[in-house]
Amino acid sequence: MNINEYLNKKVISKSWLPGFGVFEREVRRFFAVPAQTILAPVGSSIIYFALFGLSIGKMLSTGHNSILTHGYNYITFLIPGIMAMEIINAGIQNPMSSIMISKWTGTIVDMLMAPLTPFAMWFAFVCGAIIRSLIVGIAVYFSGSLCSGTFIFFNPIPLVAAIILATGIFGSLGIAAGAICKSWEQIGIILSFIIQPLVFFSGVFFSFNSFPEWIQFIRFLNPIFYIVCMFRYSMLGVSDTTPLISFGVSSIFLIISSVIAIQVLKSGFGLRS
Amino acid sequence: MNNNSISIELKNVTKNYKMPKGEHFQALKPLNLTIKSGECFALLGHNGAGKTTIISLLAGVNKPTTGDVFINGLSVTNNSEKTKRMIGVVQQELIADSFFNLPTMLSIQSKLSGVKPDKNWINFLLEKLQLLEHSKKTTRELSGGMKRRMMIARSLVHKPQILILDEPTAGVDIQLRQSMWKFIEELHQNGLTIILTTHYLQEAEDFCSRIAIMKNGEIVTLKENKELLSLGGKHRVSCLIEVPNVKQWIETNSKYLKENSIIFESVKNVSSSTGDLKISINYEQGEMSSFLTSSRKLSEISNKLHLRISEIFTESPGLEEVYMKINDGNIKI
Repeated sequence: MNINEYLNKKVISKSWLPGFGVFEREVRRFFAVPAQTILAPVGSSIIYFALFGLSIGKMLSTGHNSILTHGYNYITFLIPGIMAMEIINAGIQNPMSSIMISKWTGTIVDMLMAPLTPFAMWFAFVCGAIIRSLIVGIAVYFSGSLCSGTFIFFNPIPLVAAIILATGIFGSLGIAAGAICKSWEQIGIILSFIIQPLVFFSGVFFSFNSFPEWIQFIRFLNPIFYIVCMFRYSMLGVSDTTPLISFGVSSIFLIISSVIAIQVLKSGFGLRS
Repeated sequence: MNNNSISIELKNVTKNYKMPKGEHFQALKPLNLTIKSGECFALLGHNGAGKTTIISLLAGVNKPTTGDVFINGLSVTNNSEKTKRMIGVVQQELIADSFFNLPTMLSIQSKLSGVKPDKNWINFLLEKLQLLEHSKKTTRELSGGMKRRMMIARSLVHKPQILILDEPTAGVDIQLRQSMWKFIEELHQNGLTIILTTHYLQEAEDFCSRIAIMKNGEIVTLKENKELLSLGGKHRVSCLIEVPNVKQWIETNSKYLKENSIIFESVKNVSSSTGDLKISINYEQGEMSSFLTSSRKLSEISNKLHLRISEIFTESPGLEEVYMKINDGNIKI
């Protein structure tokens, strides 16, 4: 075929393709660096299981202290919490680092020149983050189960809902942060001084009920608390609050974070020079 | 494609940018521009003249502050999803995701542009741009010249109707540049509208039918290629002569030379005791009789003044000369 024949050949154009292009790019990107995106969180979760589970865990899950773990063996109690934590980390880091790299290398222009609506772009980034979170979550589940020696049977519907809500909330925040932040230092500040404290005050490592009364109000401001509750309920049948409240509050957080992310993408703030 | 239809239209477009201290910088002053389908159009100007701003408005990356941009009759502001599919941009910077090999990168690029990837077309582009043998390499493994060609492949993968080339051959060696232009010429012959910005003015002169020169956010000149070149002055037949004292020689002979329409200029330091002098006479381009008459006259004058000619040659005004004169304000449009 010559150039004329190629140019005259009808192109197949679909409105969903640009969004799918972003999604494919996201998934291929994190698969291209698996040591960083998949193995690293699994490695760190194994360290948590080994360090906390096999040493101080024995003290935490016996006698008077069993209130901290709702009466469960500590590693078993830890698995949903660590899964939630790593899924949240993967969810926020996937779009955040992708957008930052794109801004750094200039490939963000590809996204801005693509016939994409802000909603489609948001949806594609969040779906990419969900795939990475699912892979990380499954790997953490198996490594935790191997460390504890037992496989937890879980209720898949609330667990899938929890994964989608967790990645949706933090993927959206990752999109907004990736667009707004001007340097990797600012990204580091968000991860170290906002996300990490929220994780530690969410009940990942022990029941939030064990905190003093005066600090209990933090749980109401912390979306990670409700996500951890959903993970723990779907896997162990226990949690610090009812599943309905966790689902409802997380949904509100998802709506707020999605609106923020879509508005940031729409305005082009931090993306267009 | 109808060659009389309008491909691109800018109507009263301005673009202001907010500066860090809250001030506004006007990158584009009120601008009207029409480019026909199938035209090869050059947009020239110094850095910061507003060329890239126009490209970003056409590509839908930025929105105009006032006015509107139309691509094939569709407003970029109101139909950006449709107009973006019609445009391919070869960006100035060599940018691409470094994670993927060429076919994967092109396939994703096609999807991003809303078009189902055509494997045969991708292979055709890679072959045409001499990249097929490097298709297993990731973009970070490509040389600078290969990346330039990759940028062209990226911009064409969704078969756009308009191709914008923002300094497409910067840093490319002559051989590759020629093969790239051959391919671009082929695309143009097949109906693609081409907009070129370049600092290699010869490329604009050789390939574009109309040329716009921008300065400080406005188009100061917009003319047909030949018309613009004619602003640079007439074609000349010139000769180099050696004289013992240029300054003194000019003082003695200037009246006589002016009476005979001879243009003279020193090509070495005037203050030196000996030096070369260039004397020239204009002739009408394309008219052999005019050329012969001018050459004969120059020869007669040289004989009469007992001049020793070291070199004889013809001179044509190039776009570079015209561009410099317009930018320096030596040509009033």
